[in-house]
Amino acid sequence: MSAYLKIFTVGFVGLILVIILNLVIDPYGIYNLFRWPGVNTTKPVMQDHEKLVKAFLTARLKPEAVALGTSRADFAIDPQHPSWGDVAPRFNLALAGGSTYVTRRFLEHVLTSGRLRKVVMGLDFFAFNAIRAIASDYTDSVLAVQDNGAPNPSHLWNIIVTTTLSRSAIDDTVKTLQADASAAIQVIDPVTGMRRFSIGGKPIDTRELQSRLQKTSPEQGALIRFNAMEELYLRHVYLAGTEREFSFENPVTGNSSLREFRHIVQLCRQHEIDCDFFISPPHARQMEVIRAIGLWPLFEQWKRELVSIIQEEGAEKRFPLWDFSGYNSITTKDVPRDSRMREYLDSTHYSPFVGDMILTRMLDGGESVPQPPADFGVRLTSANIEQTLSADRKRQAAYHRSHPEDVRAIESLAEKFGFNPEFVVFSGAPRINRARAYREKPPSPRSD
Amino acid sequence: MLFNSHEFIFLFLPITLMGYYLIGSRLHHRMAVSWLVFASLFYYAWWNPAYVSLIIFSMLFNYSVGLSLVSSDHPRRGLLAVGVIANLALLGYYKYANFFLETVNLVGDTTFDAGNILLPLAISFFTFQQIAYLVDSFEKKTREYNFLNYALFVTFFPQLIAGPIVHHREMLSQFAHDRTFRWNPGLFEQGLAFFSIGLFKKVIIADNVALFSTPLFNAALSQPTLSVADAWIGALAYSFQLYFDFSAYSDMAIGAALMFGIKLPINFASPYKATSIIDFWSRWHITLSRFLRDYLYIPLGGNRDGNLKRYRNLIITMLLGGLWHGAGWTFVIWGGLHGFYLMVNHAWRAFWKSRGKLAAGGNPLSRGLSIALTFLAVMVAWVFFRAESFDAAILILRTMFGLDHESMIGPNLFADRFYDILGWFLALSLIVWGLPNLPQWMRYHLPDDGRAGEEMDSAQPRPWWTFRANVWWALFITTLLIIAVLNLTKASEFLYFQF
Repeated sequence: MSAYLKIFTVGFVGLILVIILNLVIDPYGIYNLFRWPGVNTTKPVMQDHEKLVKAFLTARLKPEAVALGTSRADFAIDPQHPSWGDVAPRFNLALAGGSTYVTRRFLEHVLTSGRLRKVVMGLDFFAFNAIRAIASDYTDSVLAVQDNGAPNPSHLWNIIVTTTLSRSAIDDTVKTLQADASAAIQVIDPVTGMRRFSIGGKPIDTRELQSRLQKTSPEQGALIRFNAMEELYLRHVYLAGTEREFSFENPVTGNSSLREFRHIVQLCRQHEIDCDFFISPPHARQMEVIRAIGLWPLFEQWKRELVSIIQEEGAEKRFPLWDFSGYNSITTKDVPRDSRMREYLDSTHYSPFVGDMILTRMLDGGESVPQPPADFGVRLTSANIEQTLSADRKRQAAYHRSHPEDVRAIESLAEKFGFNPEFVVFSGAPRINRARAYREKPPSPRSD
Repeated sequence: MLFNSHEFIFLFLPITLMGYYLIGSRLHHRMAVSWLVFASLFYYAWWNPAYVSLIIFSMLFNYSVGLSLVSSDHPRRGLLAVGVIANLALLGYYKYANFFLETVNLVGDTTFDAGNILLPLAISFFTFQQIAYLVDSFEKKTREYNFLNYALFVTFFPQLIAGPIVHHREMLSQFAHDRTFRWNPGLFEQGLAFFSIGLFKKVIIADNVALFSTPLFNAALSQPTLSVADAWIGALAYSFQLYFDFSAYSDMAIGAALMFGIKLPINFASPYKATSIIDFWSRWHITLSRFLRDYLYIPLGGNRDGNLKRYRNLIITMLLGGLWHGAGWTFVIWGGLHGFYLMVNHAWRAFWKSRGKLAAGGNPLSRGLSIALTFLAVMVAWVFFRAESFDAAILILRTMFGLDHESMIGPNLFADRFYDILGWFLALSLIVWGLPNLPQWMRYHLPDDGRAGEEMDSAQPRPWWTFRANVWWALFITTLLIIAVLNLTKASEFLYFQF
């Protein structure tokens, strides 16, 4: 062999060594071939690649039941809760930042095994804003089926080459090797699929974490975490695009979040999946953010649309839609400044305690602890939707009277960033489907 | 299966090569040809197995029509017409039915629907190759080829999907030699270099520079105004993107074929160094220009019947050439623009010739100006080629040339990457205008008699920068290959903040 071809051969062997290194260090936590404490047990990049990780894990597990939704369901809906019944294996397939489109694509992915029997799906208002960009870690190529319905036989191959033979995999392997084992990081539990915290490769039980009610410094307390998410959601999550809009339809791409939701309902019906939908319970302060930006009418319209889609698909009896949002005894809990809260990680992410209550209420879990309070969760139907919405408005007014400081805090946050409900323009009457927030003037630092 | 995919590089190509040389060294070369045909059909089937029967049917049909044409003792014009029309009808149905009905619906306010017709991969290429074969059979310029060789000529995977549009003469004569099928380290090493450098161009250059063009063309669809700097950046970036995409693809095709000891024609020869549009078309998609010239422009009458007819023929040829690139009006406009450019170019030459001078000046300044003007004209046409609608193309061009008074001047879409982009453009300009092209580096050419395996002409002096199969070149090329392979895919990260 010539020296020229020998060098090529050496290069080829080098690539094989790269594959082996990435397999062994396993920065995304999908192969689990070797576990060396202090070397590869802390995987800081895993959570940033949730779509790829969960596509791979579900392709291997072929679950009979999945939880769908966004990071809220991801943290809180526990596939090991007894109320799921005898379907197994079960997996939490909720995805951070997952739009209804991404969720539908992943539902199609797990349907290809032919084993899926049960779905629980958490619905979040912001995820129905079709103007929002698709989660940046989503790629079509990792799913077993293409968007046009054709199979994608190379999806596992795509995941394997991406995670073993790519520059990004090498970078992530280096990050894993350099990871600080003493820092708390978020990971995806490879067994349940739930998002949780971990230190040095040791999982931290979210329930235990949240129930440490002992006094802590205000920097560690619930309120500061609430404030961070309130500002983030107010400024960047509910409204999107250069025009700062919320719309169920994207005029440029032609995508519609409600059409995708209908598609999900149809898929469940066609495949005879036992399906339960629920509207997530953000804390009342987060509901106040929605109101303070001026999106409350659209938020109500969203619930009406969900009810009517399920009804139009003839699935109101088979696919219950529960509403846990609004102002009830869970969502209106006082937010402590100097301790954690059992029910909430922050104002939008509820804890697995609340997740357990949701499952208990929806799936007739019976004996499980804790029991949900009686006012937590209403089953929405076309018969009671308007009643429920008007009852919510009354409870909202009551919350304003009982928690004036919380309400004032959110309103001044909205004011600080130039939001005013009066400057919101709705379109699509009478079924509004779009809202646009105009700023009267650029935000300026307040003088007082 | 794309050339720039793991499955091609690590599975298909090595397995096909191993099988080929194992068979070629032990058995009759017919077996090696059969293996290549089988592998090429597999390659085709990878994309959509259902259409394999289509390509097989097309080959059988054209082969038998060609045989009858060449073996009959009187010219059979009717049979030729049937053959050509059948090919065009197939192409027309699969590629243009929807476009045609959409246009009819638009004009006549009707709602015809041809349903969802999936365009069979490579149909534009194998249709043209076989039409050329039929015409030449009619003119008795073909020999009675063996069907296996013919099948390889049509399906040979390095050229199947995106060209070059090979001519039966240059391919079939290579398949006739036994030595083509024997291991030839010289050609193999050259092939590796071609393929690796092509892969690098595609993955590292074309795909990255695309990041500076795609946002502009998307914005042109949805935004009422653009910024002048953005429009120029996007149009320039697309000109580079397409150049490196096509150049890369041509290199990879030549490289993959060379690994099998087979030489494909050069399809791409530094087109942006062209000093005129006429020159551009002898450097860009050379095999398409050759086909259009020999099988459309000349049969239309070429330049035989005076200038007016010649211009008409040019415009018809280029309009159809545009339509061949894609079923859409923006492609037709692109072709029409080039037809117009060619007309002006020929008129300009005729004008200077009538005054007894050459149009193209010899001094470096006028040469540089000619190159710049040609590039500008080509870039303007690319905007139509790339834009997803006529309105979007017009918006970009109006903005570029300051006709849109609403537009901002400074960069907007690309504001945060402005200097990055300038750096890219400078480096790419250096490659495009300052360096020899890859076939020149490699001293690659297709011998006129089509015999592969010939050593390069050793009488010519060899510049120091040309390829040698030595350690330094191997290190350079292996490095490019590894970088390219590691960037074929990327595990994209979740970003919480997407503003």
